[in-house]
Amino acid sequence: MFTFTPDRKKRVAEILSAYPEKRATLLPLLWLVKEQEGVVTPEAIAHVAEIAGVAEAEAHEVKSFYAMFKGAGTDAEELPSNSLVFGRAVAPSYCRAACPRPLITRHFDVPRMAELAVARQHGAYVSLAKLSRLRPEDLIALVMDSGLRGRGGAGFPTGRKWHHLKRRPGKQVYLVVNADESEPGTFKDRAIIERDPHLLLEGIAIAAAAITADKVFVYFSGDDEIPMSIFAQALREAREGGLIKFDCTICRNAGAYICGEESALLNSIEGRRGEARAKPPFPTEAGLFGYPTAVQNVETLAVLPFILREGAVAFRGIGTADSPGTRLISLSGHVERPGVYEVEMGMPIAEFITECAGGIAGGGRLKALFPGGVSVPVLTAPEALASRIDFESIEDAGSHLGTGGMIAIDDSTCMVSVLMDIARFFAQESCGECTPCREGCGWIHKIARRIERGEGSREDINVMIDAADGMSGRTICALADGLAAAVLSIATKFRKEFEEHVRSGRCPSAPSPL
Amino acid sequence: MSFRPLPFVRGGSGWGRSTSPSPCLPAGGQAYKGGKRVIMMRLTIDDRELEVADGTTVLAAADRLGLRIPRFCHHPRLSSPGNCRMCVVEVEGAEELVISCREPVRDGMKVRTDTPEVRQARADVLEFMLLNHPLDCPVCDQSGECALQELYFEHSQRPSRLMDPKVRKRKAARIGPHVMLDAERCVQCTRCVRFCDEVVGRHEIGLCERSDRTEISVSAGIEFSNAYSLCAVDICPVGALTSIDFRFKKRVWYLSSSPTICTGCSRGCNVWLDRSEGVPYRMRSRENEAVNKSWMCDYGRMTYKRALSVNRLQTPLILSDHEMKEVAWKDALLRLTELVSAGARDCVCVLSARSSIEENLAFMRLCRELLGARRFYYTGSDPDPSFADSILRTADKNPNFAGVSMIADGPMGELPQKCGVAILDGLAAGELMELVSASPAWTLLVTAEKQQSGSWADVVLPKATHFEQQGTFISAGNILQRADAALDPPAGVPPAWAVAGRIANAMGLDWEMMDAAACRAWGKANIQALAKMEGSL
Repeated sequence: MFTFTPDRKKRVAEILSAYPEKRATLLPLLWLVKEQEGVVTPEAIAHVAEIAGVAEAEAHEVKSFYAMFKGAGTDAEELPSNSLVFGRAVAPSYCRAACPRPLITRHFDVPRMAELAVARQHGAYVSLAKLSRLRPEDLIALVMDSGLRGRGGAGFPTGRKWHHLKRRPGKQVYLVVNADESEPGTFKDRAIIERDPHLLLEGIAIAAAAITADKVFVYFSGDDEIPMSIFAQALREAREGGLIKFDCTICRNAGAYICGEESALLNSIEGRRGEARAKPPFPTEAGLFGYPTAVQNVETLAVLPFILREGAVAFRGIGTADSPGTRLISLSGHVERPGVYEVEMGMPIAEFITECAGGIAGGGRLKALFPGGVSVPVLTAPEALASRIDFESIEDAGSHLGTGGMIAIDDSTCMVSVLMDIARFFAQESCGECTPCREGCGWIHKIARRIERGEGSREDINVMIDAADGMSGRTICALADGLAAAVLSIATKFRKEFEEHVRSGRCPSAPSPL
Repeated sequence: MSFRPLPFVRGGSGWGRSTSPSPCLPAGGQAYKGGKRVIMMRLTIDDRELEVADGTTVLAAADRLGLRIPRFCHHPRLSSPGNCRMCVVEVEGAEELVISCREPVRDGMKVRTDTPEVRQARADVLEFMLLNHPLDCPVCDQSGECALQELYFEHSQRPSRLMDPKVRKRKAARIGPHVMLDAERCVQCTRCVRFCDEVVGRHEIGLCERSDRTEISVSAGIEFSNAYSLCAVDICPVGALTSIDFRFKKRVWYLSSSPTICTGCSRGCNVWLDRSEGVPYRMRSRENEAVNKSWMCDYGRMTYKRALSVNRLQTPLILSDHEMKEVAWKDALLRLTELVSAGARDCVCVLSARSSIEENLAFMRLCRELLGARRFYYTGSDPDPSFADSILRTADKNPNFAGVSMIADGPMGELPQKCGVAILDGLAAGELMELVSASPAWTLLVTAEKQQSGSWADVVLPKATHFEQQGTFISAGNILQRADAALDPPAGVPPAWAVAGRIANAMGLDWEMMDAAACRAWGKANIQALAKMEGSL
């Protein structure tokens, strides 16, 4: 028989009061179990299911979805790190402004900026004074005028999303902060939270006021314990200091990349398997617990204080016409100085890499570049070096700015192994709900792995491309499109390498057996 | 038993056939449906125009045109998750193909269900579905009624391009008293999950793990044991969930299906009886919006076994030396005639809530005109409140309580001493004691069941089950249902009206009532309650 320790029983009560529906306590309670026991046992699941008002079998099904609830031993899964860089780990501690007018990273180097007193010395929460003079419609109009586009991956105009929120009389509206940063190569949201959490809180306050949110939920990646605790501390201080008034609950993913997708994220908060939801309806119409919800990325929210303080025109004065403002680029890969950079939209990639990041490390040459995570088409070096860091330029080059997770790949790298690594990631992370993604990701991974080992055929290359085609645009969410983009771009632009593997029966960059 | 017959109304189908109401109303922009204004939408599917009510999905609209868009996860009685991706269609103005099961129709919409891109998408979905699907057709019960087989042949026929090992999952796992699971065959459509959650209202089965290791499963030692578990087998589009009872017994292409109704309780769920060479193998639920929608319970489903020869009476029996002895018909009839002519002060007829109106009428006439009965009781199975639920099952486990109580005088009551007693189907335990203590002059039992309760009837004559004759029942909610014969009775085991005929002939009398219609005609002419009924019986 499982029971919580007395102090944890108190936390159970707190958790129950933090959610409008009992069912949503399922994941936080499972975390509490793991904290107490180190592992989630069947007896614990039965106990937690009863508290959450969920059928025991269903609690098992939910628990089995999340990698971090698996026990130590054979069924433990290696979590793909989101700073996956093909063998080279990146310390996300290097963050700097690389533009004349940084909007977000201004105080990243100020020591103890996470402390409220220090943050206030540097102007935190000053913009909120304006909220008392602005109605929600005014805030929405301001953000629409600013042209701000989401920084979570899709780049959807933020003001337009708020405008579409279908508020129903007497019904709740929720703001959900997507702090589940797990796109490989992306670590800029984590930098914001660790280095200037009050900036994020200020942005949340603005968004909450604009959409008249009754409550805010902040959803963290499962392995982001440190950013979570920094944020929780800053939240506590800001509330106690009377700087913010919104009701806020911190939620934690348990090892599922797909839960960074907004509709799967909502399911996860609700205590369900992190499956994506068929759209329509969109979250702005029926989102968290069925209520109109705006899901916003951390960086998007962190920009709002500047817009509120300085105005839409000032924001539009930075960057380009279609991509106003700045972007936090998480640069990783074979560069001298990987890290988080704030760049003005429109900065040429070539300049960014050579001037800011010190060029390709170890004297190599750029071979390929992912502009925004691995769910976007890869660019060849010429394509990348001809593009600028903004939405439209990278669209013109045939890719997407996405999360701004830029991965620079040099000419010592085998692109087949790059694809294999990416395919393995997606094969593990597909939620499994819809047919093309569930079967296609695993299939593509198996083929890529075989080609990489030198056991593939020319037909395999074509089949892999076909499978990717069959997944594109045919699924409930864009995860499948992400893998398809990687497959189609890498296998066509670097087809020679695939054919070389087939022809020689091994990886050409592996040491020769002779 | 305290059920009181209510004036019955003819149900939506009356004859046990389904009539699904069509919300497809005539053109005119707006129409009224049940007092509420319904907005109509005009759309074009494959160049064919139609008007449907606002809120109709493209899939439902296409179904009405008879364009059978292929699908796996959609079921008209359940929510639509849109996970199989098979029902995609092209909608003018939309960038990508859309799933028609969740796409609401819009006025002026132009839909195409048969473009090269749609055909490609369907073949792709089937390829993905078959990728890790085991090559089990030769050993899979679903073969011949499998959506994956049928849709593959219709929409794909691509050879497999998998050169790697398939994902392996649990096979041949008994997950409940009635259901076998093969998780490798599962296409994760979640029909079983949604059925259990939405129709039964319990959560017993669901998806575990994720990505291509997602597996339909039962968890925490909880079995898939709800009273309707075999409905999930009905609706599973592949051989992932199969019936343990039916396992490996018969290839479905040898089965012929006949419509009939279930007599397990008073609901009268509409069913298909599947048989081969005269032997019944299984029952499946049959659609009837008014009675059972698309469902039936597992207990009812197993009542097909009542027609199996091992469970029924095949030859007459007579009581001799305190034992029941199998005898030929002529010997049994001779014995009966002897007993009846020896004379008894009175004769009581006990009708049965377990048999059709026609059989009850035939028995009634036999008792009245040939055996001298003046009292007409009825009996049946005792009510079982624990059997009832809020879905289909009723506490009344008799299929025809309302019917028999219309024609009899009243429930089983006092038996005068030393009278003759003629019983249709049987007596409950308490009633049997009552019978014994009344020291009857003679007892006749006409029944289909093998007798379990020892030796108490002088003459027992076998009759056909309800499966083997046309019969009318008044089901719960006072719905009149009629089913035709779905099986041939074993030789020498006819319906009650033919048994009555044999008795008559043995007594040297004529008997013209030799089919169900004749029984009904007699009933209309001789029973007040039936004569007063609205409409024809």
